[in-house]
Amino acid sequence: MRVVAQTGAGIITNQGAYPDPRGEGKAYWRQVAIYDDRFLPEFEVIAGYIHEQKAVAIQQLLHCGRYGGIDLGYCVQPSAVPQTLPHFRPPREMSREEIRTTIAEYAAAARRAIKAGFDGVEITSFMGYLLANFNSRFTNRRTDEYGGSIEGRARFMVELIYAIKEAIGDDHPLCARLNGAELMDRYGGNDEEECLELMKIAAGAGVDMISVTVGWQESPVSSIARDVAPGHWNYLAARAKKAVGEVPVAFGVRLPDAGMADHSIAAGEFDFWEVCRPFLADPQRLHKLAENRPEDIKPCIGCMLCLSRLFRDLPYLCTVNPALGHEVEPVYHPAPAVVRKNIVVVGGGPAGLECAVTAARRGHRVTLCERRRRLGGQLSLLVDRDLANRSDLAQLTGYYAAQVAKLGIDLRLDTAFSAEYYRQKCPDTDVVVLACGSAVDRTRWSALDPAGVLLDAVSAVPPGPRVTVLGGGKVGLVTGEYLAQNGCRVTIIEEGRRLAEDVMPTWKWRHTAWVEELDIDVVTGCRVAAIGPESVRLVDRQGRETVVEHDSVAAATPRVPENGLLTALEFAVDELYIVGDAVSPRGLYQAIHDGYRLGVRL
Amino acid sequence: MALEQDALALWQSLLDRQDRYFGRIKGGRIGIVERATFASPPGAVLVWDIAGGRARAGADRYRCPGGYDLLLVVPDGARWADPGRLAPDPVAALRRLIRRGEVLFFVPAGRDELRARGFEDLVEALGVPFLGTCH
Repeated sequence: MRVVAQTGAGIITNQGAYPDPRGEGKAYWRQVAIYDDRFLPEFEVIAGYIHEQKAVAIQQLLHCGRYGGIDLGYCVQPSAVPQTLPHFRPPREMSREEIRTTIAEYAAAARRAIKAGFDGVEITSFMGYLLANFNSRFTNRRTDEYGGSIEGRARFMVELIYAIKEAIGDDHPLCARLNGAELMDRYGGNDEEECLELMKIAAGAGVDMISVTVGWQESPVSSIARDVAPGHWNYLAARAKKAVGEVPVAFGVRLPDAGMADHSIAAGEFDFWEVCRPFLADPQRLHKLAENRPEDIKPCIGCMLCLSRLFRDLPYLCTVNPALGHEVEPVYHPAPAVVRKNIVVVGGGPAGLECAVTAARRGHRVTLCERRRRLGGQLSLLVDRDLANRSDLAQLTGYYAAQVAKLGIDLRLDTAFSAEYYRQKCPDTDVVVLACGSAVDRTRWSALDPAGVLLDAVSAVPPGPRVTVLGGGKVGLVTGEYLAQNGCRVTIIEEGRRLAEDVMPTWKWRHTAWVEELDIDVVTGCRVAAIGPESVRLVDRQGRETVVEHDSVAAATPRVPENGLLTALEFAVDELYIVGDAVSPRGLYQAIHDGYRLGVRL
Repeated sequence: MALEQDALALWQSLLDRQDRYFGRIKGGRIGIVERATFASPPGAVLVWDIAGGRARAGADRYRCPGGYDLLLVVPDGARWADPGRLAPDPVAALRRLIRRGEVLFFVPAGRDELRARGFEDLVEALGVPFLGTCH
């Protein structure tokens, strides 16, 4: 929390604490509770950290309603509307008595937060939590005074605002996070006009600031992921700003760029820029901006690893910031090198880049050899082919390129590193790091491909118009989607039962949706029996044969480590390491984390 | 959604060809109900009762809760009684309709219960990531 306090933000909101002793409001493993005074000391410490940095301390109060009850066998809602995702608990309808109890618990929690030293509190009617459940037509089907019309559905919110204002007084601000759009229209949720109306009601009831958010956890369309362009939702903040008069509006949904935020504030779209995920990627971003070092900021790429982990009851990780969650562990921090070494990193993909940059930052002399003419490795595949917002990924390769130049790393592109090259061109080397990535295991297919027509889906763009892609994991999907978007008729063949098995949970749906939208043919649960220039022959589990015709065929799987240099260099160099896919083919975050963990200790 | 015996026989014929979806499920119930009935029970519901790797089509009176593991809420209209609407692959057809928002997908059963009874593949085949949230 001290790291968060040191971000340089003017207002810092502590994570949502659930206010009820039953745990019905708890949605996340390790979510903090604030239903009893025995928790005060921890909140006092956090408020103290924030105040040390001269920031305003806000405590979010969060009863998760439909998404709560993580430790229980149920969740509570205004009405017993079943879940649309398996992750959440079956619902129970709240009685009037339970509603009144919940409001009282909220008020007591708010009083407790102020007692702990926080300057104000925040309530949250967004993302499908309890307050949103009352506000929404989708989850509030009550026929009593807490349901029905928009005023009836807002009654819980209004009573909550009054109760909290009474509990904390006028000297302490109360913020409300409200949906600008629920993105639950198809389920009968509120439309944008109703969301705006609810903001007006909240403003009229006396909230001191409104934070505009977008979407519910279960929204069937994207709100904060990489396939939404930065700035896409700004119009919702601008509409809110016009609607709520003098009440300040905060906004930050899918707005990772400070320059864009500055522009929006200057244009009067909102008053405060809210930042969450970009701070996970780089907690020092505001200081770097203040020091006119934007090239040193690690970009948030909107990959959703953080939230994928959260909903698996695991601590946050960030793809681009391996130190996240390890702030107090010295081993995760780049300290000046005790012995300055000459390091050669082989491979300019994410693992090699991260290792090279981290090691150079510590004072080592680093040479980076890359066999291609550009940096990025398999990240370049995504930059070139991914259907989501590619500029996020391009920013990451741009960050690395800038750091390589700035740190004086000896970059050798178009360089085929070998034992011979090492002997001739790398004198006085102390350390070699092999970050050579992975490649398709051609031995898996060679017996089936007598004509030698099979291409590697990473290194080649298979010519159309009909293309068969072997492998329905992320490499095969990205390739197939890219080809289909460019007019090819694509068939993806996956020997396993399901597509996207190596894709993170919050992103799987995006691939399966693209596959359908692009009309890509998918065959699962089949074995490839023969590969030819014009077709592949498949055999299913019952022994039935199918033929898929094509103009070209590319394999995306299985991938094997490119670690051929390991043996050749074993007795040729003082220290020899291997990182990233060259150890075992995985993904972007594992590559970056591998590279960093080695770079900080060389 | 009037479900006559003839229609149920056609449903059964269709479901009998879907063992790849139901083969892993140790037991469970899927309900298909019209929006009007879902909003204001009671009314008719088409059920697929799964046991022994086979789904059996039946008609029931919709109740909430009604012991459904998965609930598919379809637009009002008699056409949903006709299995031809979802033939030849009802799960793939439903996945497309769910994606388009024409059919609403609900999960009345708990995650752990669904996983224990082998529903994971079927849920994913319907286009819903079993462990996915937050887009």
